[in-house]
Amino acid sequence: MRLLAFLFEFFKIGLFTYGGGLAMIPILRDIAVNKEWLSESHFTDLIAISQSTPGPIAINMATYIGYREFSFLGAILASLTIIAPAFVLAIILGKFLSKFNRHPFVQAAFVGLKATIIGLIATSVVQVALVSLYGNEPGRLIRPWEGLDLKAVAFMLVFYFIIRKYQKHPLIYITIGGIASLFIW
Amino acid sequence: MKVFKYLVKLYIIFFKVGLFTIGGGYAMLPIVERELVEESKLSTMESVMESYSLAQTLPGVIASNAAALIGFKLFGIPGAIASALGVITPSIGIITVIAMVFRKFGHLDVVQNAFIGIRIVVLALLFDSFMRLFKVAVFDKKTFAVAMVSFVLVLMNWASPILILIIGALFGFYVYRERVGS
Repeated sequence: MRLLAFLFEFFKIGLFTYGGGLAMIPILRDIAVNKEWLSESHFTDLIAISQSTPGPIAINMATYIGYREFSFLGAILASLTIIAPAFVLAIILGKFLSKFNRHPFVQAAFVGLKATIIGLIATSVVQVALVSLYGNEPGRLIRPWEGLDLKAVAFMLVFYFIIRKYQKHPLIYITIGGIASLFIW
Repeated sequence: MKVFKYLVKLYIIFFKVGLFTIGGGYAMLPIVERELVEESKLSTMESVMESYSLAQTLPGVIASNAAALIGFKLFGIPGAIASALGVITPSIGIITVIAMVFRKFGHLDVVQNAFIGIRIVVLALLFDSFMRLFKVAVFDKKTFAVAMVSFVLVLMNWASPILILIIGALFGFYVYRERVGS
């Protein structure tokens, strides 16, 4: 029963997220942290792992959480469950999908959906900032300047400008960041 | 028997896609093009591109949606299953190993210290993606308002992200139904 309830969460994620892995991060975070599968900082580590290893981010995250909760069985079932809803839709809609997508009503809904996702991704940015830019205690939304690590802020700005200038693979930045971190912290 | 051979072939092609592409983005297209279009001549590039763009309009994982659509076109439901399973197999294997290793060594000081910097890099990467997507999705006052409201509601934990997505889609439908497509 506990496994079924666990998988139901991944089914929901697979059915309701639109826009791929990046859009899935805030939704998965909300569930994973509230259900206490992972802590806030562990979840951020999982984003790093998922972005720097092969395969779709969502599958990587589902596998990791599934393995931690239910070992190998959980890893396989969580990944299968997250792709199942769209898989069924792809087969049912099949040929009609392109017609369906071109319909003005569907296009209009996509405009709203995309704007909503931007808001959700912004929450991920803030949540990750609260665990990454502070010392041992995560930052708070009220009085965000308390405990802010200025060294970390400088580190972040340097990386942001490098990333913006050279759009390279995330693995490269994550590796450099990890090594640099050993010297700084 | 011949169909079975093709299903194995599809599985292997999408296994490679899962193994060599990160995030499932456009990086998957060159592999699919080489294996499916040029070498085995099972499909055409137009057909692959069409499936790929349709995959983005379905919910869930884009790479597995694209795999399922391409496989379905070629060999029906068995084709869709073979392709989708192929694309997720490498992730399941690699991440399971990483989760095992992380459980064993994650608490070590050197790993913890490396992750202090890595978390900051994740922040920079996310912020970069956010900035690029923002310019595409937010183009007038209404889309800005939708983004802001969903940001505040979810950040303060006043509403679940899934509920907000459903409301956002309904709002878009209501506000833009006359304008889009005309």
